[in-house]
Amino acid sequence: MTWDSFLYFALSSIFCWALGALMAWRSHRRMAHLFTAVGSCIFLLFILGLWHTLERPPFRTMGETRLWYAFFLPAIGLAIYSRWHYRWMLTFSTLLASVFATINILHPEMHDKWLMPALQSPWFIPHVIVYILAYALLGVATIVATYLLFARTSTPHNKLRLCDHLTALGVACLTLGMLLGAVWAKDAWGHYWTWDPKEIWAALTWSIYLLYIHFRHYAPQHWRTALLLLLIAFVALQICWWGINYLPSAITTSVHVY
Amino acid sequence: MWQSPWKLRQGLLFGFGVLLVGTLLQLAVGAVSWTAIAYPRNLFCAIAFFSLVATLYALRARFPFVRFIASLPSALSALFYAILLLAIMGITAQTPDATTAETTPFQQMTALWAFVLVFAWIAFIVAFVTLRQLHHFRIQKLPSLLSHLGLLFALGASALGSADLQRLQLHAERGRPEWRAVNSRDEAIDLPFLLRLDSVIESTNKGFPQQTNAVTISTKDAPSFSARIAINHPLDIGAYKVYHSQSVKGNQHLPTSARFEIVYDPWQPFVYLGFGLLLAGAILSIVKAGFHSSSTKL
Repeated sequence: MTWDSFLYFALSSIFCWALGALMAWRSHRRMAHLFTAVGSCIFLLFILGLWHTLERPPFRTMGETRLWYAFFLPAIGLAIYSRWHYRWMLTFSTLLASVFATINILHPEMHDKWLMPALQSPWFIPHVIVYILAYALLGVATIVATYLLFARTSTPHNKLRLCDHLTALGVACLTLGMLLGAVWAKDAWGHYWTWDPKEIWAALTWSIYLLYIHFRHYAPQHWRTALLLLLIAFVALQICWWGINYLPSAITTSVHVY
Repeated sequence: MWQSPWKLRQGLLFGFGVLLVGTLLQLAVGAVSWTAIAYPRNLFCAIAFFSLVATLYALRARFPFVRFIASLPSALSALFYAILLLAIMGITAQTPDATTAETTPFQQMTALWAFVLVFAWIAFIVAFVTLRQLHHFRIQKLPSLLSHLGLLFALGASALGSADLQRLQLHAERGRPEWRAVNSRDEAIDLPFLLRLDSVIESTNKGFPQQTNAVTISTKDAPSFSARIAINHPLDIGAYKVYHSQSVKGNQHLPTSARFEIVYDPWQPFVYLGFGLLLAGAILSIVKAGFHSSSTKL
């Protein structure tokens, strides 16, 4: 198995995932599960075949890391859909997996482009994947919160429970991402926390979401205040993700600004 | 206003008071010196902290202030002030190791008493809540218990352990055993092991230079052994971890020596215990979280 075959496997997988996402919107849960699982199996076949050909785990090049993102996002998306039936989840995971697979199709020169040594770590891929999932869950929570803040409605219990649930899941993923990052940093640099601007903003974002969770327990009747907290937390999340590239305090001091 | 039970308003005012006390402390005694609680003082601090929490928990019925400190309004207020301080940290370039005439206090936030007091407040709340959840254990609260306990270990061990953390630089010439390293204050430190640089293997792997150091390690209590040190592949020697730093070329443009960073972190196992508990709490909360609504089509 070589990269020459990737196009056929990728297109087949994307087709199956897209069908799975469509079935999810039409509430055909079994078909949604079946198509998504088949798509993931096809993709996994390619990865395993490549692994066999290379005679090493495919973790070292930019193309190889994108393979894992494209594989795990629909797989975890399927697990989340299976557990909580969020119809949008499979669409999101399909879209994102397709982006990574398409980049690999359009940029064959990246297949063998090795990652810089610091990124050649088993912690890299899981760290990025859980953060992508966290951003997805918290992004949807923000959309729901924005809608509720502008909708003139009495206490929207169901949608508030949805916000709470998405936030709780998102915070759990943020926690996993931070821990994986800390362990990776200790392995690579000797320090799990150096108060780098990226780390500060990650802790800040995490803390604001924790504030939301605790505030919801304390004062469930003040749901508008809580939803405002969600919006503030999402702004912090964006700064953590890409905003620090523009922060004067981070540009010269952060190892996460490239 | 100050009648018990205190609510969020009182909590926020209390937090303002904490910041004020921290500022006064800063003016009175100067910056926080983490090295002042090097072992065994940090261990005594940990014992004293847990003893205080346990004692106050036992006496909570008698003291309304204790009940307040461990309450949700207190937690919300503590989180609010932690967020405020973190936000300031996020927009000011932190320079913990370099002080100049232009350095502002906010650029060395971890040396501010206000910062330490707010996080000590959070640690107290987390410890108290953990104790309460252990005392009134319910399986449904297991994710929360694990998360709180994990946070306590991770925060506590990393804060107290930072006093014992040593980051040393060791310069090794090829073929010559070396046991002396240098700390950030340029003080010589004798290591409990000998490191001999046998060779530096330089390769270019797909456009990236890769350096691997072949070393031999000798200790008093164990036979010598060979190992390789490269980026992402440090070497563990007891509580020491040896990282590749850089190699130095000689006249023939071949590496004749190498620099290593050696990190001594005896509290790491406790921090990792905290990480493990946090991880378990996060995974359990994902698995156990439940939300089903047929009326919310999303």
